[in-house]
Amino acid sequence: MINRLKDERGQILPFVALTLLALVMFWMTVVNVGKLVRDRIMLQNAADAAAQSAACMKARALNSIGRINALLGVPVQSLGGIPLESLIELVLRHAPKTIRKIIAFFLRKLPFPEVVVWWPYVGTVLPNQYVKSLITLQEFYNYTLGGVGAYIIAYNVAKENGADYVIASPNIFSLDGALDRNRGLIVYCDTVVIWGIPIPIPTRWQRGAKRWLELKENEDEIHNALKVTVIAVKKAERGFFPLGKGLLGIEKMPTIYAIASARAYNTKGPMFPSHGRRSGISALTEYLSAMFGGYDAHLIPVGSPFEH
Amino acid sequence: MFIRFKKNEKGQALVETAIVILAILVLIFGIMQLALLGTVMIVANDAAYSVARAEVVEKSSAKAGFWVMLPVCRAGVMPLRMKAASEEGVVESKVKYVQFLHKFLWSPTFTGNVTCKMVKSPDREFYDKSFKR
Repeated sequence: MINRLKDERGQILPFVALTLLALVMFWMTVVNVGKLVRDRIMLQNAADAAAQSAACMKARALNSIGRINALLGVPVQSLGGIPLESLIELVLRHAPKTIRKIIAFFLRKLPFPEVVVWWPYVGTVLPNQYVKSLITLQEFYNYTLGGVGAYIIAYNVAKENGADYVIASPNIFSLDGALDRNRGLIVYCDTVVIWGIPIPIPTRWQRGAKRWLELKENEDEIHNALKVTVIAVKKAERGFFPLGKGLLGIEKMPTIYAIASARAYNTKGPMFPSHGRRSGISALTEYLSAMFGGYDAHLIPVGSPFEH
Repeated sequence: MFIRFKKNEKGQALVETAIVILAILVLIFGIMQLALLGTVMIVANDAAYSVARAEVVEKSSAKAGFWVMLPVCRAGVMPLRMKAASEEGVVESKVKYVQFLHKFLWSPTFTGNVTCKMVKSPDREFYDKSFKR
């Protein structure tokens, strides 16, 4: 009995156990925080890559659409069409600007044909079919490259980089927020060749017809439409983490969200005519001025106070 | 006299334990402090990443790192400097912080420097590399 009381072995055991417990908890905290930070950085990279890729897709769509837009502008104004503003500029070049504006205002009231479609050498394709096919091609690019394609690319890129799924802003699905279809009069002409000179004969007057694409009036609206915001989400996974569930009192790792925005932009100009232009030649000139820049994509701030 | 001294071993264990425990406590708390240092360094790395990304995205990166460091600021950490510089398409961010430690250790503060490098997107080479893989 006395011997057993005097036995001092095992005295240090609870002390060591408690110490070890505390140390292990600290170690678990370090590992959990490391895992969290690693996941966050990885997911942020995934969101960045997804947004950048989607905006890249949009930029490609815009480049293609812009080129077709120039095609739509060129033949439409080719020979028979008379852009009133430029005609007044030519005739009254030295007159004061106010007088030119007044004359242009009154001339605009006349039911004058703004656009005449006439190609002397088109041959088999009818002019109206040509215009229709170009417009269809634009819509196709709008909804495939610049719409669903952008979303699919964003989803795949995010998934490949470790995200579980993606939440995207609704304007990722089309470019309709930025571009509007100009509507107005188109005069289609047939060609009669007399002594080797092609002469247009108007056959069909189409009012309110679909013409080239133009930018919307509001610049913020355009910016918001070209801006792609992607939220990459990584769900709480079951398994090894979190380390020490019961010990630290953590049930599961949190679901992680990362947000990123990117925008298609062109340094040389918007590539599309501004709102409400009557002459289609502006579609060509805008394309020519923006052609050497081309649309590109870059990450932009989301607009949160955390500077994401 | 000598005999009495030799035979009385009652307080020996206590004294020994007191001496050993001092050393062991310093060791244990040192390890704990190391864990805290590691945690804060990880968070500081995250802050450096955020600063670099903010520099790439919007060219003003003062707040981004601060928001990341905010949770650990309550545990005795003070961010001193967060800035990013970009040259030749590469952004390098530097985060400097001070962590206040327990008094019994040799140095009461720890100054950490964390850097993070990030490539700016419009770099042509970056595009080529990332698409080739």
